[in-house]
Amino acid sequence: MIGWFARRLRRGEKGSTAAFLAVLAVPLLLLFGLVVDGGRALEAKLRAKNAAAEAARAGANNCDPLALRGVDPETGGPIQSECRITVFTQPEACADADASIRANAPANAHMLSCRVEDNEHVVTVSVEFQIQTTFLGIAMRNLTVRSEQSARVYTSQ
Amino acid sequence: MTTTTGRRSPRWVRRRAGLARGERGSFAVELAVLAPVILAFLVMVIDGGRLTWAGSRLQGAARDAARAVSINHNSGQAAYNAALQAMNEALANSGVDCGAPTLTLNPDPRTAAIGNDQTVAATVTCDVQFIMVGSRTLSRTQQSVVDRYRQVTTGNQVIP
Repeated sequence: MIGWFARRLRRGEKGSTAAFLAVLAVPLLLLFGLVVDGGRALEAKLRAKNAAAEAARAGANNCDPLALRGVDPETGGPIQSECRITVFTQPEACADADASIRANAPANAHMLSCRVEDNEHVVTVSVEFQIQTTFLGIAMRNLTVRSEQSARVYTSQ
Repeated sequence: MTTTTGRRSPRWVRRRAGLARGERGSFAVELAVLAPVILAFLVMVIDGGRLTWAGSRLQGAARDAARAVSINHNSGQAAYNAALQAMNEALANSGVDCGAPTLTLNPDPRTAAIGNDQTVAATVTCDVQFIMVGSRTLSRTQQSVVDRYRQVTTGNQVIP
């Protein structure tokens, strides 16, 4: 196409500008697509991160009430009172995290994982969803965004 | 410019002859006419980039505002001001030029009590101005869960 364009240009024919514009339009359109779809992908990534972080916080709200009162949830013995997401409150924590994702992520989002780590003090949630591209549809129709975020509970004494 | 040997003149000579017939410079003229079109397209590319960038920054501002309320120990106007400040700080120096952004909180801590098992949604709205003409209203919302075991100050009372 470039060779054809160069030949036409050499002959100095009328209408060569139209051909020039046609050639120029391809990279310009590609640039436009990259800017818009790339920007959209970045925003989706941010949205996934925010949704995961917020879901982790929602989960971390579920302290075991016994541990809060200073009772070991497993043995019933006295322990230092603190917020812990124990095996008893983890299902609730992950249900809350899942509900939070519904509010902050697109409808096709789902929770990839939800776990409690670091001696029952950290809730880690990962979120994944797909977005559709508008202009880069030829190369890739769907983009998958994923983010994993954690929330740690602190107990002020 | 013809040669005496009777051979065909070289290509560059024929080319120059063609241009001399009055088509010389037509490419430049046509390009000058089309330049605004190309320029307008470039401006469109820049505006598209600015729009998506503004969307990202508004998303971040909504997140910060919602979090400022959900973690706040105060209620009423103080909680609202904390959200407003968080939004303004998030948008400052972000390169987003959209005049005066507005903040909507649902529920609004100025009119409703923020309970323990509740979420607060912050919506940030602003008009992104295009370079040449027009504007587009962008709006982003983030919901944040209220910290259940935070301490709430209401007047002089501390409710654990």
